[in-house]
Amino acid sequence: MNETAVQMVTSRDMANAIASATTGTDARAATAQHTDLRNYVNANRANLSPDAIAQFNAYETTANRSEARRDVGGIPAADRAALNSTMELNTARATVSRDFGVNVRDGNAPWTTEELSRVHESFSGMPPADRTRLQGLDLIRDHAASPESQAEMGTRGTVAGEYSPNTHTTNGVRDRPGSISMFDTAFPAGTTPAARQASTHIITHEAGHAVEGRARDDAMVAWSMANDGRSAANTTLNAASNAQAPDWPAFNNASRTLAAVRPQTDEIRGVLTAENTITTRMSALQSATTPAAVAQAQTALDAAQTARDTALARLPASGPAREAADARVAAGNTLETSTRAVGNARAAFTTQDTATNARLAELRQVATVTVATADGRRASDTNPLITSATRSNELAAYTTARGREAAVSSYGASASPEGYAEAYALYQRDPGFMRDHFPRQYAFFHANHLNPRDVPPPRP
Amino acid sequence: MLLLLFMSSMFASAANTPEVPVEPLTAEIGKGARPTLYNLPLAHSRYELPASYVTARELFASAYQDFADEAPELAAPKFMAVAALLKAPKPATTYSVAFADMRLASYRNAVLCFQEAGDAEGARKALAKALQQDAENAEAIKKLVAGIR
Repeated sequence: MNETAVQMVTSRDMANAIASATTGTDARAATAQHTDLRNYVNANRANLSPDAIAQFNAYETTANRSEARRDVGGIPAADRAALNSTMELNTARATVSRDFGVNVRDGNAPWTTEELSRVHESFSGMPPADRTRLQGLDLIRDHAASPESQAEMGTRGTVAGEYSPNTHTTNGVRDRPGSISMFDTAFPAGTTPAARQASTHIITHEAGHAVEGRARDDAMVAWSMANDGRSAANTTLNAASNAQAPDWPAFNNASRTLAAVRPQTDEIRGVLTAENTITTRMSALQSATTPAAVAQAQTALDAAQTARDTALARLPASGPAREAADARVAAGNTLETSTRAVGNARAAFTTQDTATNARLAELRQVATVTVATADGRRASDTNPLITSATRSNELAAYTTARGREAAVSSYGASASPEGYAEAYALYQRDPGFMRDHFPRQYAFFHANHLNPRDVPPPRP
Repeated sequence: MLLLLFMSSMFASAANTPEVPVEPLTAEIGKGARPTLYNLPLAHSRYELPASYVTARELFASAYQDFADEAPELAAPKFMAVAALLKAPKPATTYSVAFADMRLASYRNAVLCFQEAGDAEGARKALAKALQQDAENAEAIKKLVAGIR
């Protein structure tokens, strides 16, 4: 099949069309242009990117206002300038979002075009493989860090930017995606190179945290989601076990009553033998750990009950033996119901437990997971024995490579993830300086996060 | 003479058609299923987590092994101690919510262990103390207390 690809109308395309429609027109022409553009948008909405539609909506608001006022010269210059600023910002948002796969969000402060251009410059300076670590993150603009975040920073300074792994999950769902937040202090006033450099360093530093920890963070989230499922299944299983608990004594008492009937005739012995088989198979049902094992145990129990019914038919229709046997059957039926619930709950739990183990194995691929001595316990018992899972393999490799070399900044000396992020930002911004002053760390980043600008110095 | 006759007939009966006992009930069959314990959730911090985090995880592992060794009476107070080690950070930090989750998992396991040890009163006392110290988990603790059997 031969298909023709439809070119999506971008934010920039729409901004250009709007600029063309709003420049140098009188009121009549402006209205005609507005109508033409609206008709075009309505007819081609499927081929417009969401960002292009956002541009048109901004234009439509301005144009409608102008037409309502009956502006003689079309949209006034001041409104056009404001519209252009809005469209520039929309384009900047769309470009950052498209090029790096992040979700640009205003927090309690709005992004500006200038700030987003600094973000774009910073992210663009990263190697392509590293940029993939940004995909799916929220890029948030707030005035200042949350009190919780600032509390973690303590007296080391004011938080200017923050990579938040957001690994917490609730009922198997991640509360929110990971994020990079930038605060007012990340954007010094003015457009001087120094101001821009300061922003670039902070932005790249936060991106460095994502490069260092994203794989671990996502694996940790996957584990937590699986563990949420395990916890829920465990609650169900323990509730089923609790509900079943009184059924066992009742069943056992009925069994003893039947066994105590004298004389113990061949008919009673036949029923007892059949009932003992039921007890064994009830136990197997209780212990089943997979849906298939539950079904198999249930089939075996059904067969034992059929044999028991055959034996029961040989008992006298009345008398102590019949009464005791009927009581035992009734207790057995009650126990069977609650035991089947336990078996099903255990199978569901086992499925979740297995998933949690699988996620732990994946976490171990990207992070150093330390586990308390298992003393030969089953492998499935590993999860409760985790003593640490916070150190990414990336950080471990960097720490080894760095050895005793000094951190690249005093802030980088505060904690090893900060040391990584500071070194990452310095390398991406100025690999030559890094090479000259921090050769071990330079060698690590040169080998693993090669910046396109990191070219060997000319031979003397 | 009569006694001898009776005894000989009893032995003869036992030798020919032995009585069928009730299947010997193992602990697993007779008491129902043992409870399964909860894992300790993971926490994350931009900086280093406090040293009590690792200490708590190690103690949790120790308690878990006690339970596996069928010593729930040893495990229960250890799980409560885990929760105490993971008390809510002051001021609140980015890992406060994770620590609250970890405390709840510890309470749940402690209750299961107290019950397994036949010490419902111990569970109630321990949770009453926790209730005074853990505002974040107050509702969950009340539910746990209500469910103690």
